[in-house]
This record gives sequence, C-alpha cells and structure tokens, in this order.
Amino acid sequence: MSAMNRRDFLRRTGGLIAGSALPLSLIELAFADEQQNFTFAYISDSHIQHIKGKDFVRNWDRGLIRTVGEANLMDPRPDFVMYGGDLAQLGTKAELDHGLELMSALRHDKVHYVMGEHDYYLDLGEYWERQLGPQWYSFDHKGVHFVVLNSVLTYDEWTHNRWSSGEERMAVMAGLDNPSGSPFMVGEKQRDWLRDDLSMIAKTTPVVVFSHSPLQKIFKNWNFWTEDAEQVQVLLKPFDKVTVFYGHVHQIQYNQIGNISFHSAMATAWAWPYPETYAQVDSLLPKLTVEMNRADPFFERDATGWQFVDVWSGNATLHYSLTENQPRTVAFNPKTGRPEDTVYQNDRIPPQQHF
Amino acid sequence: MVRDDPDYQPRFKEVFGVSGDAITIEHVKQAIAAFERTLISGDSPFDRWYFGRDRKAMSEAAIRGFKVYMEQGRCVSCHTIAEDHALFTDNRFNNLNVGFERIAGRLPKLTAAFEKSKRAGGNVDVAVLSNANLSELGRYAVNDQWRSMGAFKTPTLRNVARTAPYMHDGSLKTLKDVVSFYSKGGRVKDKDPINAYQSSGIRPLGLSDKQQADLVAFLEALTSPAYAKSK
Ligand code: HEC
Ligand SMILES: [Fe+2]
Ligand SMILES: [Fe+2]
Repeated sequence: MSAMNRRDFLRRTGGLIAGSALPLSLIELAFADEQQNFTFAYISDSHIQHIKGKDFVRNWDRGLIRTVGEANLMDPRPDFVMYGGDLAQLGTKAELDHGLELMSALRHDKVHYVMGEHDYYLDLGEYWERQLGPQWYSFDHKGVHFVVLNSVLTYDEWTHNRWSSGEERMAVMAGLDNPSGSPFMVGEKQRDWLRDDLSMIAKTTPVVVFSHSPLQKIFKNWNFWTEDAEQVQVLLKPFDKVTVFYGHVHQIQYNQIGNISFHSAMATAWAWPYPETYAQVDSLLPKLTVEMNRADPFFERDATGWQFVDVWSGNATLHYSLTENQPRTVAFNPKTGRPEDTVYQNDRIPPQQHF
Repeated sequence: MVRDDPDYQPRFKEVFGVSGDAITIEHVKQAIAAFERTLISGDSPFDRWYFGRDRKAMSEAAIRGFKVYMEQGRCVSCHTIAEDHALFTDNRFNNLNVGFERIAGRLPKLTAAFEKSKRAGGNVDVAVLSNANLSELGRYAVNDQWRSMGAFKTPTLRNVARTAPYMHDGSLKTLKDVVSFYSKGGRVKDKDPINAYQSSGIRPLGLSDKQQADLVAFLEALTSPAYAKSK
C-alpha cells in the first residue's frame, strides 16, 4: 500500500469489526430439486428524463448507472434480468434510447422488459415495442411459467378522444395525483390472452406475473391500483403458487391474497412515500412493515435501490439492495403462508414522527 | 488485526495492561474515544469565531469560505458542525471517486475473487492491506454490502491544513486540489470518469475560483494552536 498504512486503512474503513459473516450470501434452503432454484435481478422505475440535446437529468441517470454497476457484481450471475417499467419519464425516443444504452452496460445479456405508463402514453408504446418486442408475453424458465402484462392501459375514450397530442396525454398520466388521469387496467383483450396462455399450464406449475401497476388495489388517487385487478386474480386463482411482481410504487410493499404473493420493486430514481391506505376490503391491505420515512434530499439515492429475487420451489425471496440504507430481505414464510420481512416483521421500527 | 500488530501491542500493554488475545473491542473503543476527545475540544480560529463569538478570530476570506462550506459547497452535510460542538464528521462512509478508477474495469472479477477467499476463511484484513487494488474496495471489504463499494469514512477536518497529502490514497496534494476536486463533482480533471458507486451526496458544485480560495482559507482556520505547536 502506497500512501495508506494499515492503521490508516482501519481508521478509514471502520475495519476493526471485520467479521466473517456474509450478509449477502443467499439463504440456504433445502429443496428436493436444487436444479429448480434460480436467481434473477429485478430493476425498475429509472425515469430517464431528457432535458435537451445530450443532456439528461443527472440524478436519474446516476440511479440506473449505480444499479447496473451493482447488478454486475452478482456472483454467481443471475439467470436473467427483469426491468419493471418506467424506463423513461415522458416516453420519448431520446429517453428510451438513453435508458437502453445505460442498461446495455449490464454483463447479463437476457433482459425482459415490462411497460410502464411513462413509457407508454406518448405513442401508446409504439417505439418501445419496436425496440423491445410485444407489450405482453410469457416464457418458461426452469419449471416456472413467467407472464408479463401491460397493466397500465385505460379506457379507450380517455386514451383516444380527449387529447390534442400524445405529449398532452403523456403529461397528464405522468402526474402521480393528477385528477385528470384515469385508472390503469389490463383490459379484456389481454385478459382473454392470459386465460388462453394459462390454459396450457399445469395447475402445479409455479406462475410468476410481472405488471407495472400492482394487480391489487392500494390507493386509487395515485394509481397504486389496477381497475380489473380482481378479474386478473380470478385467472390466477387455480394455480398452487403464484407470485406477482410490480413496479410503479417506488417503495417496498408485500402482501398475500389467497394463493397469490405480491411484491413491489424499489425504484432506481426516487422514493414515493406510503399513501394513505385506501381501505376497500381488509384482506387487500398490503403489509406495510416499516413506514417509509421522508427521503434525505442531500443523499439523492436515499430510499432508492433495486432487488434480486431467489425463486425456490416456486416461492420468492426478495433481496433489496438500497444505496443509502441497510439491505432488506422479504421472503415467503412457509409457516405463515405469506411473505415476511426477515428482520423487521416482528421487530418494527417506529415511523418518523417529525420532519 | 490490532491483536497482531507489533506496533500496537506494546502500547495497549502500557495503557490497559493487556496483550494478545486479551485485547478486546472495548479496549480499542476506549483508545479511539480518548483519541477523538483530543480532537473535539478545539481552540482554532474557527472555534473562537463560531462558538466563542470572537468576530475577529477568522479572516474575511475564511468567513466567506464558511458560507461556501455551509451552502453551495454542501460540505457541512458530511463534515458536520453542531450547535455546541463540531466534529467535522458524520462517521458515515462515502465513495467520492478517489482512486477507484484503478479497479473499476476489473471490479466483478476482483470482488468475486475476494468473496471466494473470504468464504474460504482467508484473513480479510491481511488480504486487503497487502493488496493495493483490494484496498480500494473500502468499506465493502468489511461489510460485503454493495452500497459500501469504495466507500471510506468521512474524516474530521480539524487541523487538516497540517495533514497533507489528502484522501485515503494521499492522491491530492493540497487543500486547493481537494476543493477543486469537489467542485468538479469528484474529479481531478473535467472529463475524468465517475464510477457507478460514487456517493449520491457528491455532485458538481460549480464553485468560482474566489469561492474555492475562500473555502481553503476556511479550512486553514481549523488548525488549533496546540496542535500546530505539538508538531
Ligand atoms: C458525501 C459526503 C462528503 C461531502 C459532501 C464532503 N466530504 Fe470531504 N470527505 C468525505 C469523505 C468520505 C472523505 C474521505 C474520502 C477518501 O479518503 O476517499 C473526505 C475527505 C475530505 C478531505 C481530506 C481529509 C484527509 O485528511 O485526507 C478534505 C480536506 C475534505 N474532505 C473537505 C471537504 C470540503 C471542503 C467539502 C465541501 C466542498 C467536502 N469535504 C464535502 C466526505 C464528504
Ligand atoms: Fe415509476
Ligand atoms: Fe409508473
């Protein structure tokens, strides 16, 4: 070591407590068929925003760059990468191109994309589709059936008859709580496709669904919501094990409704606070274990991050890597039959009282 | 690590009357706390000006520099100043983009090899300290968390004018270099790359030459006369 001596290193890294524990080591779970266990990385909500010319908002760029840098350190490598939607802020070609360029720094070549409303409402997904393929599709991996939906569609009347331009329509949908917005939905056409797609799958096959908005109803005013969530849930009900992953909410949520486990992704861009919960039916309330405190505006990455997912015996364990916060893990607990935070489930942190 | 260090051994024996395995983390904490106490109490021009309200204790340039330190420079968010005392550190760990470029390209290989040796029971302290590349991993080498990649502890700024060169690798020679580095958002030259793991508290500041000079004057006002004399 050139300029830093050993004592210096210890002082500067706090290295005196160096232990042998590896917090990131995957949870070891014994399963009949180890072959069927695998891991994928899950990145979401980067909101790449064009200013003009070659300028993009630095903060959102840095979030995605950081995440790609961390995902590249996964060892062993994940089987594939999921992108959860809202790659762009206003759906432009410049934003999608720049976002995809940042994503191309990933060492892992297979990436599956989900459509977010910020990708969609400028041109109804046309450019996105040209770059990335169909807006909804399915694939199989190591005995698990994966389905990707575009859950951010809405009423035709709203989409087609109200706006003088795609820009105007996009700007309205881009506002989290804009009262002129419209509830998200999967829609009949896609539900028919889903029914067909699932009819070819044995009921014992684990099913994993990706949507951008939650396929459960949380808070309508912010579109933490999918209008036909129950109708989609009905199609998933016959299967033994179903897990739904969604982006959009920029915060950690998890829930169990019947056979379906729900998990949200952290955003790489910024955090939303927890909404006042819309209490429709008790069982639909997502489990909020640790209230999200207000993010520290000085550390721009506070309360942002990404996650990787271990799929074991058709269940999921989410490892959240949070840039400015302690990592968290939410895993399906076979004893209680629902996802639980492995550290904070019973040992809750009181919410912040003052600001 | 401390237990094996030939330089620390006799000193711990002298102060605590223990050696070898009898040295515990408590002893180490006490030693560090005692060291820090010597740093907390200051009678630097800044202390006399800020806490002692002696308006003549700092130069005009240093007073202007204090404003840069608190506002546009964003320094105070990490090198903290409290109401009744100033440690000039928040004790957090940050990657400022110092020296990291050396390993950035090979990072996945480097961390994979590092984790493998750690799992195999290798002595991490020795591995890190004997390998300049691994030492760039910073706090990550201790906690294995990606958020700590290349992150080093925020040091205090007391007496900083007397402790050149700067940063964990001593790569910045003067306070002027340090301030220019911060103003460029963690770069020595305008076009230097910024690594993916840089702290989100660092960003380009766009400080003018005058603001930078004032900031240096402020940093120079953090030297306590007692420290200056003892050196
Ligand atoms: C995000 C937190 C953060 C901010 C903001 C910050 N610093 Fe630092 N500072 C650090 C860390 C961490 C180090 C050590 C970095 C390393 O060694 O790699 C450091 C090192 C230094 C050093 C070198 C000290 C030594 O002994 O080597 C000086 C001088 C310094 N900072 C001054 C400033 C000034 C002036 C500002 C405002 C322009 C500032 N810092 C803003 C975290 C910060
Ligand atoms: Fe989003
Ligand atoms: Fe969204």
